[in-house]
Amino acid sequence: MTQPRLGLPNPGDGLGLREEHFPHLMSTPPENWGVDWFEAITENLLDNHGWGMRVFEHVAAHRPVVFHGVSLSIGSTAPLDLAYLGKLRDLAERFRPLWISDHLCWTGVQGVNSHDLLPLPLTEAALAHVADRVRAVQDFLGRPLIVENPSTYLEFRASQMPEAEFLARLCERTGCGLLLDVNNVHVSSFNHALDPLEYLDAIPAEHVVQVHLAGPSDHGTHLIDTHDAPVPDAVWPLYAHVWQRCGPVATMVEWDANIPAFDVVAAELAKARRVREGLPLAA
Amino acid sequence: MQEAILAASDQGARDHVRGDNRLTAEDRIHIYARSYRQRLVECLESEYPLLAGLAGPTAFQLFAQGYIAAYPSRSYTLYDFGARFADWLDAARPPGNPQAVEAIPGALARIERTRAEVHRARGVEGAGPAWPGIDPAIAELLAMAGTRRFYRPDSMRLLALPFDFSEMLAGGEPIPPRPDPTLLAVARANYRVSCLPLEPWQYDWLVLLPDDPAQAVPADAAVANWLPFAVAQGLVASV
Repeated sequence: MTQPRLGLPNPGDGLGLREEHFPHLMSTPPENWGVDWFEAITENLLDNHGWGMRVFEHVAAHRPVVFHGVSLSIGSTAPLDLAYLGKLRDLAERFRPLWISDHLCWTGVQGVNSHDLLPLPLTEAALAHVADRVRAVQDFLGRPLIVENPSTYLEFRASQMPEAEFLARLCERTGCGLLLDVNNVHVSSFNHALDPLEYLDAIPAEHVVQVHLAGPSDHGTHLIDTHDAPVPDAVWPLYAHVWQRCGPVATMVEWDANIPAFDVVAAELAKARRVREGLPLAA
Repeated sequence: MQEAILAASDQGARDHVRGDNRLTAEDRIHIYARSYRQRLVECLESEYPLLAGLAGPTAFQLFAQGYIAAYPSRSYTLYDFGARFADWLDAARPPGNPQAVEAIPGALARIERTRAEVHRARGVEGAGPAWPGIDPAIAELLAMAGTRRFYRPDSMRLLALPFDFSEMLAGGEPIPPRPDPTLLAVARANYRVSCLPLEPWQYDWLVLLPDDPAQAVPADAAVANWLPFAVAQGLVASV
């Protein structure tokens, strides 16, 4: 039987490292950060020899870190970008992140990068294709890849299975881990009129290594995963459900636009702690 | 699907994408198409804030949309996306007078792109000062004696421009430039990026410096007085 979290540690409650918070992190003693670990966007670190890298070195010297990528394009039919993977492996050797994650998506073909997390047709053929690529990436990096469920705004007619089943079977075939983005489950379920609890219950709990929380924007007919607001009320019960099934597991808040002060983002983590303890959100 | 997103075309969407009573297949494709353009426009706005301010939102949108269509991103990182924006702006303007008003966007974009590159370039921070706490006069003597050899760090770039943007660069406000040829160094010291006007002799000396520390050269006696300033501003590094 697979160990919980694939045997990977639970570092506690983390935040995404964002440029807007660099002054706070560099002027505040690490013991006062109030955050257990940090997630850095892989592409922000690659080829960076400037202030961003200096801040990351400081953060990584004081807290565990993980790498979270947006350009692996694991679902693409284009060949894997070995130059990108080589730089990622070098970066991982230098900083020893607890794990490396990216998304179940494709970002482009024929050399183009849309810089978006585009959805896959969830077919048997796509599953076999993605599983081959996950195995190749894991062999290259020498560690399990942690795959995140994306927010999606469309479904393909060709799809043959729900996304949660696709991920569960991907885990079974490759031994990869999961970064379960609870907000993305909320967004995709709303956009496709699905039951988020059914989705969560189909996820193999022992493969969940990390949880994401974030705030989407409401466009009436659909939600968009903008990471520009507090975690909405509808997501907290889903998080409580995930914690019951998969916890304890590393929990992280993402905030990528209209980024408020560090303490405001950290306060979302405090809410997560209250939810886990069965307390009301407001103290 | 990629073609549909890049061209914002929904042709054939219903054959492949499910729609419902809230959002049609076409609506769903357009969510991705809008998001694609918005992300890249925001990337350019963030990298070229002075140009965005000087051009105004309508003209900047035209520039950005034209560039996105001409050069879709082909890199794993958005930091590379704006790399050809200045060249594209120059190529898109009518040929002729290099100091025509139509040449301003390309020249300004060149400065802003260079600043972005210098922010992330390999710098000399942590290498220690060439002459810590030393009097500039003694530094001059040291340089003249050839005890140090110099090179051009990657975190320093040189620009020869047909306009003088110094007022805009000093205040960060989109003030139109004067049509005066200007020599500029964009350099980083202690992780701060500055745009520094250069005299022709300073520019010429920096152009000739090697960019490889292994090929560093002794200082020219003519630049000795200027060297402590140049080192402090990150214009040159020494071994």
